Amino acid sequence: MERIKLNGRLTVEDINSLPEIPVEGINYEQIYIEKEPLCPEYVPPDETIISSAKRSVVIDPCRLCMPFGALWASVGVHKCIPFVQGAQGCATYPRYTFCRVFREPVSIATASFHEDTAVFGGQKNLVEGIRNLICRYQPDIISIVTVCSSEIIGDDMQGCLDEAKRQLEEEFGPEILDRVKFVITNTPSFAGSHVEGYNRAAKSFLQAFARQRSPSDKVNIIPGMITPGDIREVKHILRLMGIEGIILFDISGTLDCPLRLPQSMPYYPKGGTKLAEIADMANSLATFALSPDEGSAGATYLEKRFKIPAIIGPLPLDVHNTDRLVRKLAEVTGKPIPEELKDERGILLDAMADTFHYTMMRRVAVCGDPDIVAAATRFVCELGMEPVAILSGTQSKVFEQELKEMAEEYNFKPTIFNGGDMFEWEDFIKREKIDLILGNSKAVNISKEAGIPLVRIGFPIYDRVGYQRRANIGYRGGEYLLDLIVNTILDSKFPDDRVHQ
Amino acid sequence: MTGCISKAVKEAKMVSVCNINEPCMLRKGEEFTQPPPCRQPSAPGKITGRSCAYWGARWMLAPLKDAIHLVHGPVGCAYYGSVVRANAYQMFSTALEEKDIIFGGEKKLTGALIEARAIMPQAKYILTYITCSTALIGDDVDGVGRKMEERLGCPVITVNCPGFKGESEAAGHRVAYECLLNRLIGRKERQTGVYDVNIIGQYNIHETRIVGSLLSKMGLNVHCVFTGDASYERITAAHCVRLNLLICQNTGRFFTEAMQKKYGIPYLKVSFFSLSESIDSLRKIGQYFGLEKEAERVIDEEYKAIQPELAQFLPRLKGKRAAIFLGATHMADLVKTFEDLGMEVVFTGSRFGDAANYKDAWQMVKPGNCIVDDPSERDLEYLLCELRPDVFVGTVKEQSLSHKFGIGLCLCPPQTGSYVGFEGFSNFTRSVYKAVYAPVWHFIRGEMA
Repeated sequence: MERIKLNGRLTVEDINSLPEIPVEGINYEQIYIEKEPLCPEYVPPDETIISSAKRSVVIDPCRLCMPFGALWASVGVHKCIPFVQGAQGCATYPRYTFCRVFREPVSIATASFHEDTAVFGGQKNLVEGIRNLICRYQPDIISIVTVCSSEIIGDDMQGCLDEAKRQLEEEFGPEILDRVKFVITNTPSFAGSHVEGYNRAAKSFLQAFARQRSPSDKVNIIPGMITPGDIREVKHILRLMGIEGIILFDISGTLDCPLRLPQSMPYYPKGGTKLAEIADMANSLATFALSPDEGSAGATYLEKRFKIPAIIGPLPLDVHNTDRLVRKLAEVTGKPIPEELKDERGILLDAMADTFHYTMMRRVAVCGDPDIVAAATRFVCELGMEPVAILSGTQSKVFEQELKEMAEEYNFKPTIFNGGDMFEWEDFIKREKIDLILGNSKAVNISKEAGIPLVRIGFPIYDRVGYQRRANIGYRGGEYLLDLIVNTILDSKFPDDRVHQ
Repeated sequence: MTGCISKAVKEAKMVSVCNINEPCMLRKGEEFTQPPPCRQPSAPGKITGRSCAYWGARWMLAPLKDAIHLVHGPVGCAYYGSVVRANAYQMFSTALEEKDIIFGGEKKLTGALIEARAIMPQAKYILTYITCSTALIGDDVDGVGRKMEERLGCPVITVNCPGFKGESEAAGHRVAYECLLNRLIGRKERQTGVYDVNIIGQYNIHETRIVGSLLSKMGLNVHCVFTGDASYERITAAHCVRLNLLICQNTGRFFTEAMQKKYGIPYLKVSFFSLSESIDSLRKIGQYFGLEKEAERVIDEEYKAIQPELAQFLPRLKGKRAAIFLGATHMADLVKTFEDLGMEVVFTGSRFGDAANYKDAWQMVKPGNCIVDDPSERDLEYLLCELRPDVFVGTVKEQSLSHKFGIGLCLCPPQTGSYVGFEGFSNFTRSVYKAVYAPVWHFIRGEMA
């Protein structure tokens, strides 16, 4: 047995070729088995290209295209059909996204650009398209939304629309132009994201329709891209305070509709902001743009043009900001803050008091659109959590400013990805110790891979039902979000039998 | 009674002046003896279900896992491209901005290619998609790709699919297959086995598995599935097979015909979308390879497995009425499926079917029933309301609309599982049963009365 060396190592082949195994056997230390790796070793990418600022490629973007925001806005108006001045896909992708997220039918017409349009321009498509749309759907408003292709071709939209109007008048008589109104929103996707698209639509709708008459004691609300449930919560707060409000782009009546037969044909949802309401927005006491990046352009326009004070942001998702909104509402309208609302606040605070041991000092990562991310970050701060990595898919100055203030107030040092993509955010949270992710459905895979539980918030959420019906804003919304956060922590961080002690 | 839209048009105001070119909806009968014209561009102002060439190309190429998918265009296209097929695919984008549109995006593309390669060094090839914007500003994407090939050490393939190309997503399907055919197939060689086949036109991973297992039970060896299960190694040697099995008659036909011309590979039209078709197809394949006995054994085995379930559901579905509106091929396939279920199809239609698809469907539907091509949302509303089918087979976009009118929708392709083969037929039966007998419809109709 000279081949067995004391403390020497034998490979499997060596052992197999032994004529006989020695009486004392072969101990484990003498055996050497070479393992073959199942997959190639993970090589992290070069440090220099992880930061999105240092590279030209964007990986897993956390933002949609600009027309989408304008379409969202148009969908929130009663009997308004958006007309996408672009190829068929530019209408179908958003329709698909709306249907997936809200589970409601959404009508978006297309100008149906083809090769010939790329050469000759889109005027013919617009003129013909608007006529067809009016004939078939009899809408009150047609919201014309441009996309990358029509902007690059350089169609003069106002000129095209004038020509279309002229032909309509010639064919149907002048009264057709009283029945159907038009609004144009220029949204080239290369100049911004869906956040900017909504913002531009807010301005263009008000520019087109707001008309000054005698002052009213209503307030304007431009909610931003929040869910139908959120808008209902805003309405609830207004009702409690006895304030009459006009909500611009009220998707609670169009993207969350009851199922009742018989339906009208063509199918139009009952709700949505009416044309008369938009016109009346020029006479209100004040404009509240709840999301600073989504809709502030509209509020500023009303302020400049009609001297209506604009109160911009922040999104009332947390206690501090909801307090601010309620106080401002009371201040503007002169109405007292009702007991019922104070009770609702108290219930939220009670829930926060009962759960701080679960939430305190948890490390959180947040991703999504700038306004909701800033507000959600403040809410988790109020719960005693520590935001670590905060991603806004769309670059925003307000967002950065707000986070800086928050960081000072609550004394933490978050890493902010302003306008970054999911790739760098993912890389960062995989290196850090994170307890919880707040984000949209795009973060699901990351949450699974990193083994960090996810609380869904923001847009888009397409892999769960009912999220669009629940409110996250206001005191009651905060309650719901708090429960969601705490229950997720309980599910992932506590043994099942030790939760109730 | 002329085309069934006539009544719809009558109700609409301004009928006399409404000259929307709408020849695409008709009722099979004495007056109409030909299938509707198809592959016409949609009229502007239509709320169509059709999409763009980019969508078509993404739909086809998204399942290719070992490639880098780089979209050369504004960021929105990348976002939408990553959620196609209701899945989350990783997408790279050059995210063009205003200055790139003005000064050209080629420099950014070069940088993006290098970085994407550095991030995914294990990728075997790169697919660069052209969008409306980059086609309009005239970037030489193909030139940049070819220049970079050597430096990156892998094929850089340009998918020329700007959104305005062609009349629908069908243009993109063709572009996608052209890319595979011209740039990848034939790069490698392998020993061709006697029973090696390719499957063309199966894009869903579940469906791929079911069809694959049926064929392997017969003793066949599935080499590559376009594109549900296609790695770089398999695609590049896809010309080394005995037979191509053409499943999607619309998207795959061009490809199989080209393979026949270029490499002399014959093809068989098969379908696994209904019980009778599955049995027919297996027999056809068995005959081709001389595996008749094996085919009969598989048919027998599989049919026995689903028989108890069918016995439970079929009697309750018999005589119900169905409607179909899907991509292209299923328009005809599903009519057969419903025939197997003992149901009647009141209308069937497609978004981008071609003449051959409509001919198939025309032969299948009974006189008095309708065929539509690229109906707008409004046409669908009328069809659903007037013909009131018990179940509507469609996609996510039609789901909520159909439910708003109190008609259950059976989602196709399904979110889980699949509708192909024997197991799929049983799944489909269950899905249709669910849509027809959901208790919620009971309440809705109750309110009406």
